[in-house]
Amino acid sequence: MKKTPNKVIFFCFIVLTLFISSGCQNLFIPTNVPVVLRNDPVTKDPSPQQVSIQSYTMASPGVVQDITNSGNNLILFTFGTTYNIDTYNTETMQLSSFVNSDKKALSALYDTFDTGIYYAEKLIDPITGSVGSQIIWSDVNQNTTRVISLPEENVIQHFGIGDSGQVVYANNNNQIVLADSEGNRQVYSVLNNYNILAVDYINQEKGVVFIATDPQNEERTNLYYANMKADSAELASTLIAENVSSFDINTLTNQVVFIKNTGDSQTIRTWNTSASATSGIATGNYDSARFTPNGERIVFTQSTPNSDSQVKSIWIMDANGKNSLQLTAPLNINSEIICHPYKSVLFFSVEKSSDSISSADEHTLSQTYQLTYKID
Amino acid sequence: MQLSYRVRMILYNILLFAFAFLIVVFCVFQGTSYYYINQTKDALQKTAQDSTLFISQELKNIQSPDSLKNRFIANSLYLSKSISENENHRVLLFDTDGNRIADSVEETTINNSLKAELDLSLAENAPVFTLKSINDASMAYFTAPVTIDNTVVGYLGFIYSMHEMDTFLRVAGILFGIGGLLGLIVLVFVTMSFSKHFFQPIKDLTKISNEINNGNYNLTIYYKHTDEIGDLTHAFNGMVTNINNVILQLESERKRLAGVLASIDDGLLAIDKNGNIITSNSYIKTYFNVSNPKTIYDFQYQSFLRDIFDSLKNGKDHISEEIDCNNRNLLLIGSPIREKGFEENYMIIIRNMTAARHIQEEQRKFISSVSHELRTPLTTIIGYTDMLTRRQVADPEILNRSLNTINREGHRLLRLVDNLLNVNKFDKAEFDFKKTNLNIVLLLSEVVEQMQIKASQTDVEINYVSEELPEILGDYDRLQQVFINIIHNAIKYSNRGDIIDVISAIEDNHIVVSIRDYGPGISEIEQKRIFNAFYRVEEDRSRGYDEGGSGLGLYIVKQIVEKHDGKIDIVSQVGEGTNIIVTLPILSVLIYGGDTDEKNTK
Repeated sequence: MKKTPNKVIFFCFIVLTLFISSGCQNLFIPTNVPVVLRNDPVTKDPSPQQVSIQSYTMASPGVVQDITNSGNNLILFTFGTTYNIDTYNTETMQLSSFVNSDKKALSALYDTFDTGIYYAEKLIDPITGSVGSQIIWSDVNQNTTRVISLPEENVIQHFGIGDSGQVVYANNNNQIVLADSEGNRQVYSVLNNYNILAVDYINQEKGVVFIATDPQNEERTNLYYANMKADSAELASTLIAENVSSFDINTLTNQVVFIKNTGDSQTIRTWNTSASATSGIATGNYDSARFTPNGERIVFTQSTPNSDSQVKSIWIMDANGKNSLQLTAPLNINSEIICHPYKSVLFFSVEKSSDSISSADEHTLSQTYQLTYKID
Repeated sequence: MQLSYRVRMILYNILLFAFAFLIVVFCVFQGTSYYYINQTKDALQKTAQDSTLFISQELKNIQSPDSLKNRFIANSLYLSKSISENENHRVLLFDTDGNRIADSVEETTINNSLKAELDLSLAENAPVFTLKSINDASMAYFTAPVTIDNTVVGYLGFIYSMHEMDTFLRVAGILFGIGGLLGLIVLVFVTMSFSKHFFQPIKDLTKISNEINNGNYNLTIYYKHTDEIGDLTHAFNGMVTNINNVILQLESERKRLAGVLASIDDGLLAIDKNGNIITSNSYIKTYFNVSNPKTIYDFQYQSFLRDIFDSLKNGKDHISEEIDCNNRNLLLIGSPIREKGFEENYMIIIRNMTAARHIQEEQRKFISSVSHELRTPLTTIIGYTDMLTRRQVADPEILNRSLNTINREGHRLLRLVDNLLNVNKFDKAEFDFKKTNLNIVLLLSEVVEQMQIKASQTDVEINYVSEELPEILGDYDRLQQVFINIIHNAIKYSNRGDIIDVISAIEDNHIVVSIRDYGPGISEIEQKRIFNAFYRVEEDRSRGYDEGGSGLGLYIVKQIVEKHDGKIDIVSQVGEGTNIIVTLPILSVLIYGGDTDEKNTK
């Protein structure tokens, strides 16, 4: 009988000694012993494909906006003494000025046939000080410039391009306007008075996909789809997904890829008009995602969880979510990732840290890069 | 040093708490540090990958004819600083031979701090991670090859401070310490106060056990819960009740045995092998005048007891010894008490043979008297017949006289023999007394009436006076015989014209019958011998040949009276007459017992 408590005491003593002697050090991971790490732990499922960066070059200063269907030209926003919209020829690597304006450009896109550029400009009423925006179309040769939106309209800066040269945009009157450079306008009222934040056109279905604030919860934004009927000026929208932060539509496949927030992380999901439900592609900490022009892959940006910096790295994966490969190191990307229409080339802009940030102006140094990758 | 149960319980509790707490703390610490370290390892690997891409981007961006390797070397400082800014830890870059080419921290006191890791990385061409503890601070050392386009252009190394982990562990340690101390205090306090509550039933049990030790068996413990302690108290209560019952049983057995012993007519002494008295009965006190003897040696004046005891101890199976003690004739019978499984004890039975001896003596005297009495008439008869045959007497007068004498003596002999038979019957153990309830007044009335006839012959008058008397148990005929006999004697000894008073009354639970005559009376000497067998008062002998009292009358009377548990007394004075007093117990006394002392009265 005496032996059992003795054994117990002895055991306790051993544990105590162990504990104290370990001194809060881990007993299972040895100190001062180098350990070779064999596997690549970052990718959870080891990818059979490898990606190699063929080239990574600085293309031009400025923030890239869009690329032509040929892939020859880019739209860039540059800031100097004025707000400039420039175009950059990737072949000649020449930067040409397109628009110099005293109004800040918010976004710009080539029209369907690359004949002109639609761009949204910020308006500040000098008298009232109220902020608005308008959409302007200008042809590539800068011969014609036309204001597309109406003066009383306050255009939402994220707009889209239709399939026949028109622009689709939303205004602060809960209307979606389909307009072309000729001046033709079709105005649709969105039922339920959604507060629309971004809109784009689905060619095939003649409908629009837009992000609007959740009517029940102002903190949240949802993704909706509305079909433009020929006989109706009203748009009845259907909910695609809730809590969506960004989306992109592939013009070839008419697939919609969007990023949905789920708690601390995000999921990339896809949808098309014939699908009854959205499909989940991947989970992570995503910022933006879009299909490559051929619709076979998704290019997306990912940031490290819980990091306070704004750096993201660019990744590419198959449209089904497999084989995700890292293309860049974490960079301070401040533009969309623009894919070359047919080459494995990406264009994106990186914000450079500058010592002149102490000056209170909005001048930031932004550099657009061209990345050529090869997946084998 | 034996600690009390309660203290032991408290200590065990503390030990248990300490042990469990230590395990928890151990798990938390080890788990947390393990998690942190692994996290760091993964994070550094990711950083290495990002850095590699970054380096690749930067190097490819530079328009230079140099090889990547050379570009790497050329721009190493810039690269290391950029990466360090991005990642917030120290970044070192090495060339393909393992020489340090850039360090994001300019001043360094530790040179070649990543040497071991770098060598391993060089050798294995893989990342290497080491957990280091430098000045009690945890650091992570990490090296990895920088591979661009499938060629290793150099190596990078990270020195990452895991101070977060250290801080957390330190704070957690302090908190655990405080928590543990508080917990311990609370535990000790609670255990000490609750243990009282838990030990209360045990204390109660102990107290009651002590009470029972002191002889108080009427206690039970009350415990309201039905748990293990409740079972114990229940069992305990049952046990106490059982003990109580057994003790009561034993007590009643003992009393019964004592009763049995007390009712034994013999003295009983049971002794163990050491001479201690196991049990004795009251006769011991009566015979030897020793009360509550504890050992055989308490009988100081009865050495014979000790002798018997010694003989028994020496192995004698049976001893009988007759001794005289205190005017008593005692027969001592000693024998061992042997029972399987018990040690040998001894028993001595002390039988009072005084009465038996006395009776024997009486019988001896009786027989000698009888032979004497028988001889007397026989010699007369033989004398006369001898004379007649020898002398051939023809004288009819002498012949007549002789034959008459022979006849008379013959009759007397017959009477004697008849009386003897009666006496003999008395001496037999089974005397066929037919005892029934009888009314003494009725009996006496009949006797008086019957004897009045005889008394009238001598002008004697018998007066009978009595009150209402309760019944007695007795043999009607024999008692009649008694009173007939006594009154006959009274008539015999009364003078012509006298009266005889017969009075019967109740006195002290006894019926007292007194027969008083006013005759000559009996002297004191004769009073003493009058009840003896064959004793005849001289005058009687000289008088009444035709009567020829055998001298057995009063003897028989006495026997009958005594067989009725009564007694007979004479009060007489010469010249005053005689009063014979017969005392008989009434029915209830006989049944419910009187004295259980010796039957031999004085």
